[in-house]
Amino acid sequence: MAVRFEHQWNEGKGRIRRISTSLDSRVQSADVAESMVMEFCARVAGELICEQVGLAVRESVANAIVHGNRLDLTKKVQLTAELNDTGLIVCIRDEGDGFDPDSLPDPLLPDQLLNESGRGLFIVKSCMDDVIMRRSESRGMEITLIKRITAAPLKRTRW
Amino acid sequence: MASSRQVDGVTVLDLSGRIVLGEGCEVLQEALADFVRQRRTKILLNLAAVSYVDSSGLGTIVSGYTYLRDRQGHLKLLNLPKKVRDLLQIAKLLTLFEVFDDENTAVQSFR
Repeated sequence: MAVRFEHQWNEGKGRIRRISTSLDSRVQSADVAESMVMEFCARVAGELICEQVGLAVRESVANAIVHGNRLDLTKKVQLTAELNDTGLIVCIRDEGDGFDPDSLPDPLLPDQLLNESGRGLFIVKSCMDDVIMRRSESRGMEITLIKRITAAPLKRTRW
Repeated sequence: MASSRQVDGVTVLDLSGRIVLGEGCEVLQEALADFVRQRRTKILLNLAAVSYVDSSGLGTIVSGYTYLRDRQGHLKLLNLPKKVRDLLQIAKLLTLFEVFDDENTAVQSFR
């Protein structure tokens, strides 16, 4: 699996760092995505924030693979993560049919508490500052995860 | 990883590592299914060495709870690490389970 590392100087806004990759539609890709983004996040944030981001990425990629692409190995999940002056922005896009996020039941309702599934998106939202979901312009569902990291300056890296 | 032991008629399942989508959840599901087949329905999950749980892991634990409850069994939790406790808390599942910090007290609670 190829992971692209990009960094550029965005005049007036400081350095932007970005990674992107294409993930296979298999459950192990959730592990790959989680560790990749956590490592990326660790350049600017502490352990707690990185763990929250990692969990949100894991859940989002798992949803994209299992519910979006339905484990179809002919379909991919695209992931990009970008660090800018606001913080960390992660975008995950599948090639499935898409869905209406408002149609999902609230997993905290008493009659939903004992369900085996349905907590993933709720956990994502609890871990991140902002979560934006929309049907992709091309195909599938796109979820954007935003974690504001303003206190810590970008660390010097060897990239 | 999972290994089980019997303590005063209670099956204590010592779990370690990550209970997440894929292998971690499968290990737990298979262990619980084995216990039910062996008519062992007093189950105490010791999560002391569990480093991480995701929504699939939570779902597997909830599923085990309802599966045992429907068969007149019980599933209780022991030694929740902070991360796991926090996740159960935000998912409003902490009040669903009986949770213990002491194994002896947990085992006695099944009587």
